Formats: sequence, C-alpha cells, structure tokens
Amino acid sequence: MAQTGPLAGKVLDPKGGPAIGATVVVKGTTLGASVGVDGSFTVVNVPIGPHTLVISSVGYTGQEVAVTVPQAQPLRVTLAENATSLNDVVVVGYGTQKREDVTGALATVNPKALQDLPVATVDQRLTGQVAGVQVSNTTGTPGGGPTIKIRGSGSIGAGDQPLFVIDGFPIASSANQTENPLNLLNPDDIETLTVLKDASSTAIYGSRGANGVVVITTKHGRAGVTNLDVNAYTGIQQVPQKGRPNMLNGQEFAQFRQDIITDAFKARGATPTAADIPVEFQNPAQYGAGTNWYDEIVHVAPQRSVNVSLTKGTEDLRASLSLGYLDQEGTVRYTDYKRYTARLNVEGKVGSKVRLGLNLAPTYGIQKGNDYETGFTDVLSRSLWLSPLVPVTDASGVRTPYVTSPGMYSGPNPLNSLEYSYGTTRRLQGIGGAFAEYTIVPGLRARYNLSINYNNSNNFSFNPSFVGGVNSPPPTIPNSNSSNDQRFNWLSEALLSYDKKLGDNHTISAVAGYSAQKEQYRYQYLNATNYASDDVQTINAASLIPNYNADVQEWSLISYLARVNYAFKDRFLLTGTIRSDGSSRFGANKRYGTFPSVAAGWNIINEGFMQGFKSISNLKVRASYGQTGNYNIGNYTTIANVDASSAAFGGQLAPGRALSSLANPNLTWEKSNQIDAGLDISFWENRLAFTADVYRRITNGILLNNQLPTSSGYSNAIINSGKVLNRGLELALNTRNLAGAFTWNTSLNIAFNHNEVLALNDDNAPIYSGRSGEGSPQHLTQVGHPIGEFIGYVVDGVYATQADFDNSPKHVTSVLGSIKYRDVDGNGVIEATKDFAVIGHAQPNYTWGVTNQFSFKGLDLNVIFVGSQGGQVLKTANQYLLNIDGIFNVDRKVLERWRSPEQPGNGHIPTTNGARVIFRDTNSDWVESGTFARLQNVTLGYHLPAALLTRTGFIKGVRLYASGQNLFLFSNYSGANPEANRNGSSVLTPGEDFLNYPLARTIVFGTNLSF
Amino acid sequence: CKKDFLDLSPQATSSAANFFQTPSQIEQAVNGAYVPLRDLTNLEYWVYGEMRSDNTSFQYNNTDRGQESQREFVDEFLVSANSESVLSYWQGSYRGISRCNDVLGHVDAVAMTADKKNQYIGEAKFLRAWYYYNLVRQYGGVPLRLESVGSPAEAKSPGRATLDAVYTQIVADLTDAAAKLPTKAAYAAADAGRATKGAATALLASVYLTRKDYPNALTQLRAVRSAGYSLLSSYRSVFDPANKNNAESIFEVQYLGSQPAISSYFTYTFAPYTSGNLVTGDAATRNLNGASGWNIPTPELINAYETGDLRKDASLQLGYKDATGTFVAQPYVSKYNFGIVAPGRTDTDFPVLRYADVLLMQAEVLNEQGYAAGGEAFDLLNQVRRRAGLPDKTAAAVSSQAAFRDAVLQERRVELAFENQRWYDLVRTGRAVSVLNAQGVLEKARKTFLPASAYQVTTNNLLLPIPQYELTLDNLEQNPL
Repeated sequence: MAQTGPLAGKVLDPKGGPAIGATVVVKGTTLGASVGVDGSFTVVNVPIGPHTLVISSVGYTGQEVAVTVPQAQPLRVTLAENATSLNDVVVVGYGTQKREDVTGALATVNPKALQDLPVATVDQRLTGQVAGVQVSNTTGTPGGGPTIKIRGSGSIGAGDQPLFVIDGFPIASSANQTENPLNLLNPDDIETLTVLKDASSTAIYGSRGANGVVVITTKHGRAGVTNLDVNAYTGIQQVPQKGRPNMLNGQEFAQFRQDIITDAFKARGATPTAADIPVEFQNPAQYGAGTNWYDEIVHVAPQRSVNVSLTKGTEDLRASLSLGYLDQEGTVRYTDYKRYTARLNVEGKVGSKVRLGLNLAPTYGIQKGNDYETGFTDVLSRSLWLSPLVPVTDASGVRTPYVTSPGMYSGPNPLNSLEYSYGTTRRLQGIGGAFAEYTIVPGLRARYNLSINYNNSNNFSFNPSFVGGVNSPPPTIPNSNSSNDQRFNWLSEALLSYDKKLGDNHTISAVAGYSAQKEQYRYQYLNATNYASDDVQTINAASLIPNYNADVQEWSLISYLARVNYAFKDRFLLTGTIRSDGSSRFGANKRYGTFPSVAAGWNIINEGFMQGFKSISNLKVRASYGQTGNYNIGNYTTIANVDASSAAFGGQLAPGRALSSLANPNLTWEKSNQIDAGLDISFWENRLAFTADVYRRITNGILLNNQLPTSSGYSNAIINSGKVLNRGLELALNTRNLAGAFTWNTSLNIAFNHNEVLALNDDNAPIYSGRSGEGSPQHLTQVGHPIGEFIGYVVDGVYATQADFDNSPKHVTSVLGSIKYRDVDGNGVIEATKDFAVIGHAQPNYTWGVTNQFSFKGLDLNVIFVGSQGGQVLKTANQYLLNIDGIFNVDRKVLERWRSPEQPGNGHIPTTNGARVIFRDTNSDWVESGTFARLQNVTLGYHLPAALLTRTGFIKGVRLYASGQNLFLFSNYSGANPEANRNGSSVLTPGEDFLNYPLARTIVFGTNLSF
Repeated sequence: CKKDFLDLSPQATSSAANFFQTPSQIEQAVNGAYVPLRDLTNLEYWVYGEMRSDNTSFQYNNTDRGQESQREFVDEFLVSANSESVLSYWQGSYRGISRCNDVLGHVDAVAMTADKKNQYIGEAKFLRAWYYYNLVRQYGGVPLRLESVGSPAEAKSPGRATLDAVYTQIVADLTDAAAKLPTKAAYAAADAGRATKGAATALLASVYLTRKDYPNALTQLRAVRSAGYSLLSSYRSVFDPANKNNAESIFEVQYLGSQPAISSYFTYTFAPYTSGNLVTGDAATRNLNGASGWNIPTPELINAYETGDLRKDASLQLGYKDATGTFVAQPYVSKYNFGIVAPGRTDTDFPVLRYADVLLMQAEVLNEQGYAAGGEAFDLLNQVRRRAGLPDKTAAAVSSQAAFRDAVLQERRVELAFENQRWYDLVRTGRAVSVLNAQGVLEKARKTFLPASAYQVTTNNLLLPIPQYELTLDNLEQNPL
C-alpha cells in the first residue's frame, strides 16, 4: 500500500484576495479540492512523490504547478486575470480552438460580466456586449423576446435572425416578440457564449450560417470539484414615466369633442345650438383629469428567480445539475411568466478510450398574456383611446364594465379584459441528448451524438360573457380559443476529429462529420362558442365549434462537413471549412448546396522581429472569405399546393379544391459571400486589447417573396432574386485601467454597418411592403437604398389660409385647414402612393456598448451602457393617437391644431373638418430620431468577508448585490422605446412603433451563495 | 433512402403534382372555381353595382370611419387606384379566371364520359365569361389570361387587351358553354345551382344587349324563353332560401347557412348598424359594427316604387322599431332577410340571372328594334308588372320608343333593385353621368360632410382605375382618371 499525504495551500486572486471557486486537481488522478472562502485548500490522500497541480478558475488563467508530497511548505498561488488570455479555449462550431489559433471573426462574452442581469433569457444578456451584434429590446412582454441581428440584414424574405446552437444543437427557430424559443435555456446554466460573425467561422453551419451563429455551451462538472451554488434575487419592475403616451385628460377631451362639433358648424357657416352638443361634452370642467386608462393598467410588478446548481466530478464521472425558477409578473396587470428549468449534464469515462455523456434539460413555462401588440383594438392601444370621461369604477367600487362616450369607439374596461379575458400558454420544451466518444489513437477521436429538441405548447383563452369586445358591449356569448402545437426535432451526428502536432513546426486539427436532422410539427386549433355559462371553460361545455384548423409540417436536412486548421510555427494559421447541406425545403432541382470558406492568420507577435517591441503583447492579423446560406423559408414552398375551397349545390356541401400557390422547383437557399479582415493587438501584457474587423457581405439569390400581378391568379411567390450588401467596421477595446486593490476594467464596442440593396427582381421593381391603417404601403425596398425605408406623405404644414388652400395641390377631400401634403409627383393632385416619398429609415449608422467593471476589496460594480445612433422610428401608433375623427381619445398634440386662419395652431395638426383619411395615413411627421443611449444595467455587489464565513464551516462564499436594468433612457424619441418594432414585422418592415408592451425598469436585490 | 429523407410532401394540403388527375378531382377543381364568385358577391358586386348607382348609399357611421376610403369613396366617386376594394375586385375576378383556366388546361387529359367533360368545360367557360364580363364593364379592356399560370416566371400578363377582344372572348366562351352545358332539368337535384345551358344563354343575351347587338340578343333571349323558366307568383319567394334555384332562377350564387365558410350574411351587411339585433333577429349579436349599414336605399329609389307596388315591402323597409317600440326612420334592404341559421350566418342565395330580367331584356331589345304600340314588348313588361300588383302599361301611356325605353329602365330599377344591375343599366344606356351628377346634388344636400369634390361624375368615372398595385407590377396602362 502506497503511502499518501495531504497537499495544502492557498489560491489568491491578483488583488491578494481569496480565489473563491477556484479548483485544484492533481493531474492524472481523481484527487482534487475546491478553494474555500479564505482561499485555502487541502487535498488529502495524495501519493508520496512529485505531482503536477492543475489550478483553474473561471475568468482567470489556469496554472500548472509542480509539487511534491510531503510538502516542504504550503503552496501559495496567485492567479492572473485573463480578460483576453490567449490560452483561452474558445468554443466554435463543432469543436474548440485556442484563441491564439483563431482565424475567424468571433467574439466571446465573458460570463463574469454577465452575471446578475435580471433577465429571463440569454439573448438579453448579449445586449451591448459584442460589436456587430444588435440586440433590440423590442418588447417588454414577459416571456417574449428581443430581435437580434448580426452584421445587418442580409436577407429580405427569409429572416435575419442568427442561428442559435446550444450544446451542439442548432435550434430551429429563433426569438420572436411574444414567445421566445430561447426560454428553453436558463441563462444561469451558460458556461460559454461565442458569437460567430464571419463566413470562416459560420460556414461550418452551411445553409444556416448566413446571419451569424451564437454558440452556447452549458455548465459541466469538473474532476475533483464539488460546488453547490444558489443564486436568488427578488425585485420590482415598473414602467418608466418617460415616453408614456400623453393623452388628453377628461376636461380637455370633452372640450375637444365640443370643439369638433363647433368647428364643423363653423366650416359651413353655422353655429351649433346646445342641442347639437351631446350633454356629456357640455361641461368639460366637471371631469378634471378624468381617467388615464394606461396608468390604470400598468403597475409595479414583482420579479423573482432562484437557481440552484450542483457540480461534482471525479476523473471518471462528472455531473452538473441545476434547477431554476423564474416568476416575472408583467408591468401590465394580470400578465406574467413563470418558468421552471432543470438541467442534468453527466459525462463519464469507460476505460481510457471511451467517453459517454447524457444531458437532459426540460423547461416548463406558463405565460399569461393578452391580445397586446396585435392592432389598434388590442388592450394596450385601447387603454389609450378609450374615453377618459368614464370612471374606472362606480361610487361603490364596482368596475365600469364598458367604456364609451357618445360618438366614440367603445370597448370593455381594459382591466376586465386583462383579468378575465386572457390567454395562457403552457409550454414544455427542452433539449436532450447523448453522446459516445472513442479515442481511436491519441489525437484521433470519433464521436456520435443523438439529440432531440422538443416543444409542446398549449394555448387557451376564454372570453367570458361579461367582458365584451370593441364596439360589442357585454353580455356576449362566451367563447374560447385553444391551440396545441408540437415540435419534435432530432439530430443524428457523427464526427471524427484529429489533433496532432507534427514536429515542432506543424500543428493540425481537423474535424469531419455527417449529420441528419429532421423536424416534425403538428398544430391544432379549435374555436369553441355557445358556452352555456362562464363557469366551465373547457371545450366540452361549448355547443359549437365554428372554426378549427390543423397543420402538419416536416423538414429535413442532411449535411457533410469538414474543417482543417493548420498552424506553422504558431505564426501562420490556415483554416479551411466546407459544408454540404441537402434540405427538403428546396426545389427538387436545387436541393444540395455547398458552402466553402478559407481563412488565414499571422501571429506577428510570435515573429522574432517582435522581440524589440516589449510593450506589444499580442499582434495578429486575420482574413477570411467564404460562402454561407439562409434556408429560412417555409416548408413546401417549392411545390404548388392545393387547398380546400368548397362550394354548395343543391343545398349541400360540394367539396372543392384549388391551387393556392405556384410551384418553383428551382427555389434554393440564398447565398452570402463574406470577406472579413481583422486585427488583434494588445499592449502592456494585455492591459489594453483592441480588435478591429472590416467585412463585406453580399447576399445573392435572395429568397424574395415577390409580388405578382394578381391577374395571374396569385399575388406572390417566393423566388431567388436580388442582391444585398452589408459592409461594416467593428471595433472592440478592452482595457484594464486600474489593477491592484482597486480595479477598473472597461470594454467598449462599436459597430458600423451599411446596408444597401444592389438588385431585386428581374426588372428591379421596388418592393412595397407594410400596410398602413388606410391600406397604403409603409415601407419601400429599392436598389441603391437600405432595406425597408419608410415611405409616406411629406407634410408641408396645413392649408393655413384660403389663399394657401386655393393655390396648393389638394387631395379630393382637402378643406381649408386640413393637412397639406407635398405633391411629390407634381401632377397637381395629392394621391396616396403616387405622392409618397422616402421619409426615413430604421437602420442606425452605428450601435455601441460600454461595460465598466470596478472592484475594491469585497465590492464590485458593473455598469453597462448601450446605444444606437442614426436610425429612425416610424411611430405608426399615430394613426390612432392623432386620429381627428373624434371617435378616440388622442395625443395632446391635437390641442395645437388649426382652428381658423387666426388660430393656425402649430402648423402640423389640421382642422378636424376634413381630409381625415389622409391625415391618418403614413406621413413624415411620424418619423422621429431613434438615436438613444440607455443605461442598461448597474450592478453593485459585495462579498462578505471570508473571516465571517469560515465560522459557519460550510458556506464558501456569499455575495449580496443590487442590480438595475433599463435604468435610464437618453433619447429625443417621444415614445417609450426607440427599439420597438411592430409584432410580426419582417425584414422589409423595420422600425415601426405601434405601441408595444412597455419595457420595464427593473431593480432587484439578490445573493450568490456558494457551499 | 437519402432521397426519400429529403423528399417530403405536405400532409395538410395536397400537391398539384397529384391533382387534376381523376374525374372527381376535376369536379373539385370546378367547384373551387365557383368560390371567388361567392366572395365577390359578398362585397364587391354590390359596392360597385348598387352603391355607385343612384339606388343605394350608406349609413354614416361616426364611430367607425374605417371604411371611409374603401366603400364610402366608391359611393362618392372619390375612389382612387390605391383603394383596396378596387384591387380586391380585380384580384377576386382573376382568381376565379385562374381556377377556370386550371380546369380547362387539365380536363382534356383526364378520361371521363363525354357528358361530364362537356359539363365541366361548360361550367368553367361560363364562370370565366362571367368574371371577364364584370371586369370589362368595370375596368374596360383588361389583360386576357386564358392559360393556366404554372410558375412565377409566367405571372406577368401580355398587357391590356382591347375592349372588343375581351368581349369576343366572352362571347366565344358563352357560346361554347351554352352548347356544352346540360339544361337545368338535366342536372341531378344535388347539382342544382351549377351553371346551365339556360344560364349561359341568358348571360350571352345580356352581353349582346350591353354591346347593343339586338338581333343576337333577341335570338338568345328567345332561346331562354323556351327553356322552361317562369315567373313565380310571389315576388318575395323568388329570394327565399326555402326556394333555392326555383323556376324563375336562371343562375344564383349558392350559399349554405349550415357551413360557416359558405354561409351568406347580407342580412347583417345591409342592416342599419344602429339596429342591434332588431333587424337581423340574431339574439346573440346585439351590436353591429362598421360591417353593417351598407347598401342603404336612397330616398330616390324608395320614391321610384309606384303606389301599390308589392315589390317595395318585399325589397326594403323604411326603418325599424327600437327596443322601446319607437320607429327609427332608417331605411334598409330587407330583400335578403329571411332570418338566420346561426349567429352571423344566413342561407340566402344571391340572384344573378332570373326570368324577370330576361323578360325585361327582351322587352328592351324589341323596343330598340322598333317601337310597336301594344306589341310583344308591352306584354313582356306587363308580365313583370302584373306580378308586382301593378296595372299594365298601355300604348296610350307609353306612346313612343323613348317613353318605352324609360318605362323598361324604371321597371328594371325596381324589379331588380339590390341585384347589382342598376349601375350597369345606367352605363349601358348612356345615362350614368347625368343621373349620378343629379344624384350627387341631392346627396350633398343630405350629407353635409361630403367634400366639394364628391360626385363630380364624368365619363372617366364610368370605368374604375386599374389598381395601382397591378400597374406597378405589370405592363398596364391606366384608364383616364
């Protein structure tokens, strides 16, 4: 029996404090320990003799230290921070790379910088962190998602969201506003997050790589380490005052309604009598402030989250287990989102050559929502235009069931709609998989994965009899909508990887693989009505199913992929990647596509001549070129579909069918060619690290939903046509401004992107898209311009005087004092579309983010600012906010309207007397600057002193923190959210604010406990 | 295996590759070609056939102005090429034409009995002719599309055809349809409502009449007269869903109240929006919205009925009683109001061609060929009047060709009121401009909100603008505006 002894010591961080959470493993054994609150560790039963200790900790450079048992004296190791350590291993597609060897444009997000953001999903943690990744917080819907773009919009018809790959699984769908598929991942489970931007790094994802790729890995156990962590926070969210809609109060509204009538009489030379004014509007003063419905429906909402994770490992078996709970009540009353997550990652060795692993990560979410972000009658919009003259409750505190004043659009009390007429989505989803890896010879490994991604979601909403609808007072017939959809997606993947150093000069690492992926989607929908009562809401209690639907869809993808990295003397780096994808989504004639890329890098720092430049600690230049694809069109779009279209004869149903789409067997993916050149340079031992990338991406054969002359019998078809350019510059700067007892690190990134359409369909006909309330197009995509510019009338004021009216071009409905639009086509008449001009665009000139981290003794402070410069917002909510029909409550701007030549108002708001239709159509007054800077996050944390914790014996670390999210917005935009975008908007219709669910300001208090 | 893995066919729809192959699939395709007709009848046909004429207008809805630029502007002659309803009329008609072309392009290759093949070809050609007839009368010469479109590359049209070319095609289609279609009697009961030989013949007569080709019109009308159609004794029962495809009906658009997607809802559309459920009788729908209050009879039409005309009460009401029993003087069309099948659903069909129309067309044709005091034309006119409970028109009272022309037009106005005929009658008789300018003066006096530019009717207004959407995408020339 071999003799053993203990190994003990202390691991310190660069400031001399304890490196809590660091792990110590005796190399080649299963022996290890984690570092306690005072930085000390003891490994027992270590065999007598020399050993190598491996010390590692997230955020620090790992170290290997030679030791001997028995020890002469306790070990003392100080770790170095590795903000941009070159020895870092970076997770890339289908493998990892040393940062030093990276040739592509990719960025990793430092997990330490991201902790404690009180957000539900990982995409929100990306905000402002990576140059060229634009995360727009479009909505505050609990459980909803932001929109993400990497390096601009390269596509027109096939979406511009990046591909998310979680533990090797490419997720089929990406974020959307009301449901975020990334809810399947608890952000606290993330270990690494890499954004792949250039073609060299994304080409390995072939037909899905064109919009960039976000590669995420989750936490795994480590040998010799046992960690139990509890992260919990609780806090509040509220809707900031800035940007809340500014509507007429009760008195002003009653006066407004009175004035409309007076003005109408005046315009035809008459004077109204008292009888002409509805009694409700005769005495405006009685109302005072009236009811502000919007303020009634929003409230301060709690949010809380608890995550517990346990990692434990030996050399042969490592496991990581986590449980999470999130409860986010919405700032709009009676809305909320709850999520339960669990994750188990287990990995074990069988003998020395076989590794097996399993991961399971089910997530269950319950989202309670309403019909917000759907149209001007939705509950949020309605809370703006409902009559402010109606009180929320009667004198006895009973809610007014139905809100209306004479001659107005009417609707249910929005509080009733929210409390009783909501929809609940229950979603069980997750990723699970297993792998086996066999080391054939050292350096050559074969691996097989089988994974699934499943999603079962059930949505149910019930409209009870006593709520009612817009222009439909209660009682109504109770009815319900239920839908169920199931997605089952499996991935089977075989990979062979090879890593070898040949002599001193040549290093090769290669991976080759085959994968097959298939998804099946099933959907059912039932609309049930004629419920006997409001009590029993399940469909069995309904007596009629007037509407129903079902769908089944499948897609499949077969891929062959390979990548070779070659390094010569650690100076010259070469990467070649190729992937061939075959997809069921594309036409029989164009089913397979091949996506190659090459990249080269030169680690100049390793050249002999750099010896003289001591201040330069890293210098590398990179260049890459490659082709990637976008396969995001619907399934079965290449074939002509035949849909049911039945008639009736002889008083009976006569089944009928008709073609509903055109065949296009030549339809295939769009191809992006991207060239990228990059520079990485660091000074003074990485205290200042700078990265710059320039890129130029041209997307060809764009998947375009082409409008067709309807005389063909069809109005649109998806074709491959057109070309879009995105070119840009990305700069990232990381500095360690102060080191020592007080540390201060800054990372700053800024990205400029230029988006331009180079070609469209055969004749380059511009694409009109979007639809205003009056049916006019709202966006225009044309050659030589960015995608989806805003179009509309150009406001030239109002017809202020009779002479002005007589001498100016007019619309058929124009009257004295009505809105004066520019006669763009010069034909003397104002007409929709013909007199539309480009009035703005959503694309920013640049977006930026700055993160500052400070720490002093046990205190840490993290401050994130993000911003965007030069984009514009089209505030389409104005179609009802500035509606002068008198049927809605309106924005206070209407007080500044034209009343007479003597009272011309501010020159932008017309009389209420005429041309109201064209005034509620898109016009240049709706375009506002979308430039903003937002204080995205401030987190202040405090580590309890080790001395305090040692006494407990089992607590290794306690950190208390306070964190605020979306704390302040610097913007001239009149709305609340310059990043808002209308739900369901496409690449062709960006930048439209139709009143989204408000973004909350969130303040939480939390703790990180480690045991 | 690999090929199969990627070769996925839809399960929730069929693929065209497996369609148009069997007689039953051809029949389904023919049935599908009737569907756009049903959709157009629901909205566009009455908006452009009645509201634009002097027969009907709309109830001003101050709480819902959403249809102002769509429907109200049509009534007021302010409609522009951007109007969605101008596009949807065009699009719906061509959707029907495309479905007819799909049938005609595939039917020959499918083995079936000659009778069935003739029937399907006849139905498709009848429908295609009907869609083109409406297009040509509303937009003038339109693109002639006679082939099935198979790919996005074939989507553009050859451009606008001449008016004559479109009419030549309509006549050719109807002539062939009349030769191939079964008679009404030859169809099985379950096929009642399909296009018949009589329908094709009557429509052909209408086309010839519009073209002022009186000899050919007369030949076709005489053929319909001998095909076994007759007037029902009760005017109102002609429209009663209990009486679908009756002896007077030559062609009507078929609805089915039991099927939500196939039911009609004219009762709702034409009811005053202020009437709640008092007009519709639908206990579940107590509130009507902006979808109601349309096709409201004008005072001029109401006054056009002679005293004692039984058709007046059968066609319209002068108002309704509110919940307290007080009469609300808000006229509305009641011709299609026969109760509901379920909330939001009625079973009422919509007449397109009926025997009374044929009688009046023939009376008109005979008079155009030469006035004959007390001749056959008088008899035809009086058949229609007698059923309405009105005295005969005598040669003494109607003593000239011009007077008879007026008498027939007046009779058509009330007999065929709300059947989407009035606009076309005014246009083809050359009266539209004068009648509608005069109507505009009256409307403006009643509706103070109308802008000065409303009802400025010129011959340019007799055709709709070509939809701007279509102009942008295709090589078409706009009508003079």
